[in-house]
Amino acid sequence: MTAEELKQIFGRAVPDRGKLQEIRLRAGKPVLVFMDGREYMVGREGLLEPDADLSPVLADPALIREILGIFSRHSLYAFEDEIRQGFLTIEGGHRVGIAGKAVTEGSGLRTIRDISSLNIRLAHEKPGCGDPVLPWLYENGRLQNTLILSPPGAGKTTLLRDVVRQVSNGNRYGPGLQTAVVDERSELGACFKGVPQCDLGMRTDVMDGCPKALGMVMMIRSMAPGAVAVDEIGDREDLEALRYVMKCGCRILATVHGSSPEDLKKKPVLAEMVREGMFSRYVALSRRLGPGTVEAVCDGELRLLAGKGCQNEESGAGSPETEGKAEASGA
Amino acid sequence: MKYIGILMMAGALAAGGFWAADQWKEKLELLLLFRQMMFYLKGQILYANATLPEAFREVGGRYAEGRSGFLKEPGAFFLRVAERLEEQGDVPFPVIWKEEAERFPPGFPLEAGDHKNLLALGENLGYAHKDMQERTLLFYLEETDGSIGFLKREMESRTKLYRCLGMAAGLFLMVVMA
Repeated sequence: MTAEELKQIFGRAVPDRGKLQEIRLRAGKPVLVFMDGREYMVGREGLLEPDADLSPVLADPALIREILGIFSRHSLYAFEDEIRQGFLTIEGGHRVGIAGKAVTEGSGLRTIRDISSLNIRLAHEKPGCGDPVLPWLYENGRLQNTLILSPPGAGKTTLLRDVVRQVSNGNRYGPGLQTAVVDERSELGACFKGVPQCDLGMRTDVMDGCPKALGMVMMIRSMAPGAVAVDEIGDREDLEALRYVMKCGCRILATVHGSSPEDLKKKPVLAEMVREGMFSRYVALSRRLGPGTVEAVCDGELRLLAGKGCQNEESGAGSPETEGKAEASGA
Repeated sequence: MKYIGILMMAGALAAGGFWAADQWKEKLELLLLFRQMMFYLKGQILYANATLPEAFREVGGRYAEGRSGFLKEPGAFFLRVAERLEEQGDVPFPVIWKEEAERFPPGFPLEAGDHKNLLALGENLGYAHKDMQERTLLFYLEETDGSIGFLKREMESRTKLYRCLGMAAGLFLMVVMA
């Protein structure tokens, strides 16, 4: 099968592409898609239940190679560093996870060859998805250092993108801030030729493709931001850079992998951040009721401000002004 | 009338000699241009980490502008490749490169050997890692340098030869026909 044929099959099988969350291609296995939190196999004429007795569309190694060629725009060499990390980010901010034969060099990874699996995670821009949590991110009109945490695919990047947009533009809780985004993996802004394709607000500067720690320091020096946003922090270099950002009086908006604020205490670097009180707001998301379900909003001491650890979209938006320590809803 | 005709024929022969000498010069200019473009392409790939469509668009745009005649063709060739790479993501790069490299206008002053080198360049570009891109481009540049060296060495004597032959043929014709 060719990529063009697969595209046509997708056109018939998945008419509403806005709902697509993930596409999984594995050599010799059925093509799987995730929509609305459910898994389907792709058939020639439509989507099939995973246990359906019909013949699904199978991905083969040549198809995977061809798709990779298209994604890399015939230039795999330009994604060398990203491939070493196991994924590449393509135009539109979509992330393509890869697996295959790892080629090592000493204790590190030189590259991945014979790529046999692709996990295409589609980036979504959901303007307004930050509304339910936004009231909790401000205190006396001042943005709080905020860490958004969730397991993979639960919408933390989508939420951060919208929060950045609203912080940059200004909102009913605080004035617009000069915002610097360090977009190491090109997922937040989905920059094309340096210009963000996603709306990150009118006062946002984006440093695209730059390592987070380096980018944060550079942006502080060059763009004098009021807030700095980064996606997926976690290593010691990030911690040092975040300390530098805080010393400069800038606010921080960041995301990290994790299932609950308590989880952070189990990870050495993140536990240090919690101990130091680096963040004064933690927003925990899950996929329980679909990506972006807000499970909890906690303060710097990990005290629950909103949510009971389980919330749903129907519960409505909580707000410190209107509901005190009320619940937050799905983002 | 007869003498005017003879003079015109002799002039045409002499001009033919000059034209042949200029062809030699054009070949050299063309190879030097390709060489310059490949160096720029190498910079785009290795230092700017540009993808092939981006790199070809940048280099092609820069070298197509302000040039005319055959010297405009290499830049236009790069731009055509960039456009097709962007529009036809599912067509392999070597296919696009080969098809476009065969679309040079008739009489394009590129020797068969140099054209073959250009085609070979497309077979490995874009594949694997940056080292591979560098080596592929350096190999092409090495081959091109060989051709340029040959042209430079031979140019002075060949230019003189073609011009003299043209003029001598013209004179000979005049003598025979007068």
